[in-house]
Amino acid sequence: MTTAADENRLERRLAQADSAAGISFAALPKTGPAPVDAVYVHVPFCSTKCHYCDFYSLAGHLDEVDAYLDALKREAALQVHHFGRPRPETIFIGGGTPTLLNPAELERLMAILHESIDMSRLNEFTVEANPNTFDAPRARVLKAAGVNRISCGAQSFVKSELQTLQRDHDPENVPLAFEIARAAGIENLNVDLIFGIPGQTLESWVYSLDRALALAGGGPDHLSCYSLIYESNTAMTARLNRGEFTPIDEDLELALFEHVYRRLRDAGYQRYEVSNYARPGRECRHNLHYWKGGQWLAWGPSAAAHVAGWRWKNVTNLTHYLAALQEKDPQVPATQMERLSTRRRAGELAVFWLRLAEGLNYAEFHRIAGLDARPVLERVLKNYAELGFVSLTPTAARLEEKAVVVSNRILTDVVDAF
Amino acid sequence: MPDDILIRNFCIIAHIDHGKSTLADRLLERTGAITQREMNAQFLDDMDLEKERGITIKASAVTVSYTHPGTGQKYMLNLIDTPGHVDFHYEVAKALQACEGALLLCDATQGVQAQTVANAYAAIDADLEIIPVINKVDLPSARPDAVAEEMEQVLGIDALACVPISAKTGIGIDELLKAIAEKLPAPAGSSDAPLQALIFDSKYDDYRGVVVYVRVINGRLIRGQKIRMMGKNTIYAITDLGKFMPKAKPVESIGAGEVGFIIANIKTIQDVTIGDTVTDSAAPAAEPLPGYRPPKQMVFCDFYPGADTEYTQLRDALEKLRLNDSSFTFEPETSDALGFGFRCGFLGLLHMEIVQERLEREHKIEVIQTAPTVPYEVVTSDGTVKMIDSASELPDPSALLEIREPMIRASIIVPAKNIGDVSKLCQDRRGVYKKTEFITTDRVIIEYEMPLAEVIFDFFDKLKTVTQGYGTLDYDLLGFKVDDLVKMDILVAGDKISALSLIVHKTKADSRGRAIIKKLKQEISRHLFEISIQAAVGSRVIARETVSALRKDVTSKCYGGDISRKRKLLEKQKEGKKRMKQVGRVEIPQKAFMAILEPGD
Repeated sequence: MTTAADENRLERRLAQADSAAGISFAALPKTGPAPVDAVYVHVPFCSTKCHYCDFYSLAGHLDEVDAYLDALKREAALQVHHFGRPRPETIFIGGGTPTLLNPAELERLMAILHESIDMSRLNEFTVEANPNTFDAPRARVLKAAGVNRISCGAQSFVKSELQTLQRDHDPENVPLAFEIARAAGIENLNVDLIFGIPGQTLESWVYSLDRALALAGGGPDHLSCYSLIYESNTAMTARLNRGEFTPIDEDLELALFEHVYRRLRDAGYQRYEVSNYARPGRECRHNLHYWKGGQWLAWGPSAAAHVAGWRWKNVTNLTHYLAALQEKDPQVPATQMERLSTRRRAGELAVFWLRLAEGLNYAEFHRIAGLDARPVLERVLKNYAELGFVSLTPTAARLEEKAVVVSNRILTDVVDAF
Repeated sequence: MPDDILIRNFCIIAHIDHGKSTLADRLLERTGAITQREMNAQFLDDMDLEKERGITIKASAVTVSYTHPGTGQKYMLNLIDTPGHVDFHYEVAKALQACEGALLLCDATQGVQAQTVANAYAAIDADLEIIPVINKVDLPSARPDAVAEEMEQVLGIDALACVPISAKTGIGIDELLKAIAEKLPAPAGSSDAPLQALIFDSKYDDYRGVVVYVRVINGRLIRGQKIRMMGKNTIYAITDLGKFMPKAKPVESIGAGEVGFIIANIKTIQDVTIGDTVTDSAAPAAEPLPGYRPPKQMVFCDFYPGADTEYTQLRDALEKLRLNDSSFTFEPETSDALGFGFRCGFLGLLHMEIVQERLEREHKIEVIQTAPTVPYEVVTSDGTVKMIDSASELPDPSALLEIREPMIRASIIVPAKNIGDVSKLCQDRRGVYKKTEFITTDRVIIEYEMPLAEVIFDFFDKLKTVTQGYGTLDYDLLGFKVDDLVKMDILVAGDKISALSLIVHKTKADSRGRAIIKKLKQEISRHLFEISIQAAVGSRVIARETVSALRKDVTSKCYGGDISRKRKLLEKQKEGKKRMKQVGRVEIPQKAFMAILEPGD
């Protein structure tokens, strides 16, 4: 196990990627005041780096939290100045591990958000929580700030599987975290689970899922069940390439996938996206904005925004992020600024929309993309429809249940169809 | 031209790599036509590709002057360069017709090879005086005496007449020049007779139009003269006359026995027929010279535009190539699977490869090439005989009486110890044994009659393998012969892929079919459904494979920061799919269409 070395290497590579980009930051698009649906905040601190995770985060570095919050505050101010004070429907604080911040730091984070964001329209405010670091004092701070949804990274209830993933929490902390959240009056709770972990079996997956469904308050309101992805630049992939373990067999993985769908359906949860399940009305609205062409601001290192047809991403390096947002003459740390053509944007939108169980409604699509998707999708999806993978009606196109596991193949034909 | 200068027209004939171009260069240098400094490259090969492959594709003619050191007699030597590969018999034949003599060049280390024999017989048939030359005598492994013996044994050429040389170091070149002057006959013909000039080659030049190479047999070409192509019955005015010495040099006239070139504002190479006779339009000859047989395309395949290539780009490139190669043909072709393309005819396999490489190298064009095939003679029930060059042209089986395929006489020279392997190879390819002749105690010529179709399918490679590279092959066409031939179709998901249909011998259908669909199975990626791949003769399926359905291809996690990245990933996958051809619901990679090109067993 060469955790530290892998981490350092990843760190260096990300820093190189940024410096290769020249660290000359992109100017924000001159859109004038832009209405947004959502705001994302990235908190880049973790106690350790999980081996499968390719989000930007730093293990330790907690002495930089204050500097980070200072920078975040300046970034928010710059954006408010540029786009106007956002009045989103949803806020999502992700990471990293937001709950690694102590209650005082969390309180400061909340204050910054309340200062920069008009909360009058807000109906979903999510914070990601690590079962190990989530406690009653933190829960109280969040609840007081208006947080009404907690997303808890359980991943598995089997210790050996958590170890394979290099998760640092004890599975027994998950039920505790749920009780704390419910006790604090936070009602809308999600758990993240991962399947396809090397060494996992159908039995162990059944067990994890059952444990998740038995969580306080009649189980979670929402579950995200991801199959393990070997992202490049992760320790997990490096270990795979070194032959430290064999990935699980395709048949087993399909069986696990099948099990999630059945078990959760029987328990009253709808699959509303490839990997996301919810009780009716508990779908994650924030994510739905991502998938249905919504507009959002994104603050913090590596956070990605989408406003007025522009996409950009903040610099993926805390040091560079802090350097950009110094007190004197701060600048927006945006990189990878891109504006998609109408057609490219339509292709992208259709791809992510079709991952939703509700399907792509042509009228709604037209309102957002300004294009009629029907002739295009009927052309490229005709064959798939004949094979029973897609349903085409005069008003919508929808992937059938059996298409979910092979959706990339179908969406490949959609992405450039417009 | 002053009467005291004697003319010698000759060519060099040899097996590939026996040093023909080097000898040509050495002769030019020794006669002072080019300087040492110009000698860096082989002068007569002017295409890159020729240099790399070590073969000469186009014939050229060069005029040099030579003074006999003993007698002081002046000579005009016209050297006509010829190609040495099996595919280019036709071009060799053209060159031979313009000469009175030939230098038969043989490598002192390798000895007599298949094309040494074929070329020698062609020269003998054309009634040329032959000077046998043994090259590379400077090499430590040279065995000039043994090779001279081989030449006598196989070709009936007096071993004592052989001139030992080294084109590389210059050994023997003076003796060879003397032999050319002394032994080769002067051209017959008279400059006073009506004009008869033989067209033996042509080239397209971007600035000057078509350059026509001629050998004047009788009469005289004069600048400004109005000429008539007797076969084509077209009239041109000569704007320029010249000779290559070796650089182009204008001349006022070219008399009987001489070689030179005509420029007459001729637009395309198709306006000139090789073998045609040029005469004076005001005072024409009574008869044209005996012509050549036109080149016969014996290998056909389709070229379709590959990725990033447009149909029109391919067409333009083919047209350009044809400017300088009148021996390949192309015509528009459409295929359900591959779209719009061209059916192309070539003299042989190497010729096909050369054209494809030139498309890629000189024109940056990527082509999808279908499996090569030979032409077939088809007899229908009403007695009509038709030539077809593709399995898709076969008439309905009910109307089909017989299919005849082209047969060749293959002369294969191999080390004696490989006789068994080579015989087995030929028999596997439906060869009928004719005879074996010993060249020396350890080398033989084996003769087989074989279907050409069996030779164009990886025969050369196999021959080289079983003989460790020593085997050489030459062949000539015998005609068409009926055999038990059937059409084999390839079906993917039930759809017939006409571009993959082929005509095979009944006994070969099973193994060939199995090999092809196995290859296809490797090339076709998994789809959302099971795909059957079948080889069928008529309605009988002779082999079957299945590509199982794709079971999992999904991106499970997709958050806001991922959207661009995931889109780019899908776009990249889509790029890959664009290089595929859609047949029904199945995407077949272009590479799969080459599956039947590759060795199967």
